[in-house]
Amino acid sequence: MQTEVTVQLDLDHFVAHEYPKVVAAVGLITGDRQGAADAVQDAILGFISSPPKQPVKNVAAWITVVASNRVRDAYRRQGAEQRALAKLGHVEEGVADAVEVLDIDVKNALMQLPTQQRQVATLHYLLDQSVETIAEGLGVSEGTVKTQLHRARKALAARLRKEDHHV
Amino acid sequence: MSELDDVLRQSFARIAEPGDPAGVADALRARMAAGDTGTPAATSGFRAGRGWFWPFLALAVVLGVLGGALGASGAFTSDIPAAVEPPSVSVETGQPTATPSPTATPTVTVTPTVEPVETGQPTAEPLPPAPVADVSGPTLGGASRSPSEVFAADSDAPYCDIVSTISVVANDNVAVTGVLISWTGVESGSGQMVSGPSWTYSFNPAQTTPTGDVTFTLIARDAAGNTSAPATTTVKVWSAGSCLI
Repeated sequence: MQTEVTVQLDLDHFVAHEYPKVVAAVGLITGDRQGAADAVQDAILGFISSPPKQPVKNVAAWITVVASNRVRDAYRRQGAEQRALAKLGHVEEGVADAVEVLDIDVKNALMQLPTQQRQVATLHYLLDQSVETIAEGLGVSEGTVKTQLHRARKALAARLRKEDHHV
Repeated sequence: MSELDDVLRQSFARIAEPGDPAGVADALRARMAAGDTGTPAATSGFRAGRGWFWPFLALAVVLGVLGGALGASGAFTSDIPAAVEPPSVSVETGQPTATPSPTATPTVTVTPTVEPVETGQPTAEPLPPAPVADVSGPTLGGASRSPSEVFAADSDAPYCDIVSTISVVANDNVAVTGVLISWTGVESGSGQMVSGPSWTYSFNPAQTTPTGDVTFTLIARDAAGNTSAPATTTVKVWSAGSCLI
C-alpha cells in the first residue's frame, strides 16, 4: 500500500530565497538562461498543483531537475540544444582579469560536458547538494553520481590545468 | 574538501546568473488562478525511475515495441519518456458471497491387520545403512561486483568508491563450507568469502595498485572436499591519482 505524502511549498519564501539560485542552476545545465526562468516557473506551478507523492528532501533540487529536463526535452524536439550551448559557451575576447578568465574556462568546460555530468556538477557545486541527495533525487545509485561527478571534476580540472591556472 | 572543489564552487557561483524574483510569486498566483498547472510532477523524471520504469518496460515488452524504447532508457530518469503513467491497480472491496459446498459422504475402509507372532528366535539387529559418499560438488551462480570500478585511494576520498563488494550464490546438496576467492591482474591475492544469503568479499585495492583490471575467481567447497566449477568477475581499478578529491 502506497502512502501519499503531500509536500507543501511556501511560494513566497521559495521565490525569495531559492528561485534566483534555481534559475541560475537550470541556466548552467541547459545553456538557456531565459528558458530556465520560464521552465522553473512551470516546475513550481507543477509542484504546487500536483505535489510529488514521495517525500522530497530538497525542493530546490527537485525544481532544478524538473525544469532542466523540461528545457532539454524542448531543445531535443527543436534540435537546437547544441546551438544554444555553443552560444553560451562563446568566449569573449580581451578579458584581462585572471578570475574572469578562469570563470570563462569553467563555463566553457562545463558546456562541453555531457548533460548528466553537467547536471550533477551544477547540483553539487552551485546548489551544494550532497552525493546522497543527488542520487536519491535522480533515482540512481550513489555510485553513479560519484562516477558522473568524478568525470566532471576530472574534465574541469584538466581544462583549468591546460589553461595554466593554479588549482 | 580539496582546493579544486573550492575553486569550482566559487567559480560556479560567479558564472551563475541568478533569476530575478521580483513579481514572480504574484505572476505564478495569477497563472494558478487561471487554471495553469505548469509542469506536472508525473512528467518530471525526478525520482520517477524507481516507481514506474519497470511497469513501463514490461508494457513495452508486451506491446512488442522494445526496439527503440530500450535505447532511450538510460540510468538517468530524465532520459525516460515522460508521458507514460504507471498502470493503475484496482482493488475489489466488496464483501465475498458464501457459496454452499456439497456435503461429503464419509466412507470407512477397514484394513485387516496381522499381529506379529513371537517365534522365540533372537532377531539380529539390522545393520545401519552404508554411508553414501557425497560426490556432488557445490554450484556457484550470479557472481557479481558492486561497484564495477573502484579507486586505489585512501579513505579520505569521499567521492571515490574504494571498496567493491564481490558476491556469489553457492548451493550444495549437503552444505557449502566455504568459498575461496582469489584475484589476479594489476593486483593479486586471495581470501575467504563471508557466508550469508550470498557469499561476499569486500575488495579494497592497495593504494599502490595501478590502473587496470582485477579478475576474481570464486570456488566453493563442501565438507566432503568437493569443489565447484570456478566463477569469475572483474573489477576495474583506478590508481590513487585518478581520484581527484
